[in-house]
Amino acid sequence: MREDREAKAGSQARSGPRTVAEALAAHVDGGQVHPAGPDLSDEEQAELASLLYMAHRLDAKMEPRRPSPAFVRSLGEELEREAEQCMARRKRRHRVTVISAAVAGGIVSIASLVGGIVVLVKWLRTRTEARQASTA
Amino acid sequence: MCEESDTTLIARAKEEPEAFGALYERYVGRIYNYICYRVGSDQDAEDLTARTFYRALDHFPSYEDRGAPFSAWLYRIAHNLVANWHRDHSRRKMIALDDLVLRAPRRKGPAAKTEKVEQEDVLLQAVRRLAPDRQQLIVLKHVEGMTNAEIGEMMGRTEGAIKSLYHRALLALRENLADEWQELA
Repeated sequence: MREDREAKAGSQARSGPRTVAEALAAHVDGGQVHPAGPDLSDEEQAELASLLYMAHRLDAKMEPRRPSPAFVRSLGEELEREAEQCMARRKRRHRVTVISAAVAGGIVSIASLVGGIVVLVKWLRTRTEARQASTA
Repeated sequence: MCEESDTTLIARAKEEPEAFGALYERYVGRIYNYICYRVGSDQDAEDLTARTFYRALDHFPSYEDRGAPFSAWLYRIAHNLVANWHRDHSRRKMIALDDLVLRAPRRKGPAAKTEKVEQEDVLLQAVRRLAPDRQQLIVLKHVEGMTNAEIGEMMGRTEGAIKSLYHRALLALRENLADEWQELA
């Protein structure tokens, strides 16, 4: 019996904050306001009211702060200059990469061609020598 | 004139510096605001905002639009820089908060003004005593006005996890304000 009661109390304790959290979120997260949690106990209603008061207080006190226009303008100009330089650097890197790849590709192609010719010449020479040997 | 979507601007910004400039102008205010509340000083906020956008520019070629908002990427960069900043400047934290509070706008008479500054002081100090992820959530929700879903996307958590974190953040904040709570209420 006692264990049952403790289990029930534990489950209520676990579900309590979740319910208050849901009700709190519904009130504070704009546009989804429900009547103050019909499923909440009196204690939870009081808890919710106290936390909502805190939330409204925060809303009232934490006013947006804006950067000075001079700072926004000067940082914006610096960033645009930096963005231009970054793009120029990226384009230069891209061009270097493409040219390097083309040169490497060309070298590999020429080497393959030369290699092919050497192999062909060797093979022809070997075949000629073999024929001459068989004729002799 | 119809405003270009982030996706279009991001695609253009890969080739055109002006498009990156447009993205910067779209988000600089929000990033600055977020950083300012996290570090508490205008000067440091400007420095970290600049570093956020420079880092974004550096990593922009490898950025891929996978459906998450571009702002989430920027906030993540800002968050990491703020975390590093806090590690390096842990001793200066409270002084910076005082700066923030003293420079907050004041509209009423001397008595009301003093009371307002004191309340802000207490509230903001309590916020600054929260764990970094809770501070981040409070700033995104109450300063930026983001929804739980947006915050979840930004912080890489589910909406349910954000709801729980928000609940825990407010509980911790109330605990931090324990002495002042009766007065505030």
